[in-house]
Amino acid sequence: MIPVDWILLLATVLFCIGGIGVAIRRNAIVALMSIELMLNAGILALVASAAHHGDLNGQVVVLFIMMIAAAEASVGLAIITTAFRKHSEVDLDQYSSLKW
Amino acid sequence: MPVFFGIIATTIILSGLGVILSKRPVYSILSLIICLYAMGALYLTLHAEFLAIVHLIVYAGAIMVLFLFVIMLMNLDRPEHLNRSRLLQWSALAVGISLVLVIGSTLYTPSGPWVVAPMGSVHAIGRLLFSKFIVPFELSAVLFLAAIVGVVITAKVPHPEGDTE
Repeated sequence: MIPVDWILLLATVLFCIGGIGVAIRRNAIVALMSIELMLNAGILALVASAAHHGDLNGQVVVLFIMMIAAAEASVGLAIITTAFRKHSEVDLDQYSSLKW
Repeated sequence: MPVFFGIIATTIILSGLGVILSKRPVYSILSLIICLYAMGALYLTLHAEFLAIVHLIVYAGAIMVLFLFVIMLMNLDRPEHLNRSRLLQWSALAVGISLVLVIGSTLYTPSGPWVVAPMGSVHAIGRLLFSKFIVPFELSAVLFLAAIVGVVITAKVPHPEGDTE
């Protein structure tokens, strides 16, 4: 088997790609997808650690993370839909109505 | 085995970069689907067969289709003009690389050998989910109910005249 560190390093790189995506993209949907990338990096680290220790608890926690990701994606897309109807724009820089 | 991991890791990283770098949102979604499939293949090698299947069904099947529906129904697939400042982009890159270095350096301690154990079957996960994790499992049902109600209320088009809200 390969060392578990490689998989954890892959998860780290994926997490940072997601973080950079949230920082540099202005499209709200792409930002949401970058958050999904970061969640997937966490899932990958959990699965690798669970397999490394021979412990099944990590995989059950991954199931809960998937549930939370599904709920988060649906609520986020509903918010984006509503904001698009109001502003005709999915640009995150234009959403300033909650600022003041 | 290292060759397989190399192929999978390259696919994951390239498609992850494709998610954040492609101009059109639909291409981002397709790259993300490729990334999710590669991760599912990686789970199969990590004794997580049930998780691999659930990952493909839930993520690539349900969540990504939801994203695609929103983009295609609302006609959002227009190329984005990236006029954010160069300074912000370079600083995001620097922060990301340094984050990789910091987290990667904590992995420097040598890890032990793999515990080889058959695991990840539906039977084993199901027993654990309904005994030890029964409270979080039920709570996630409540979470989903709240999410459903929130989505319906948030995304509902208000009636033009005489609404009872």
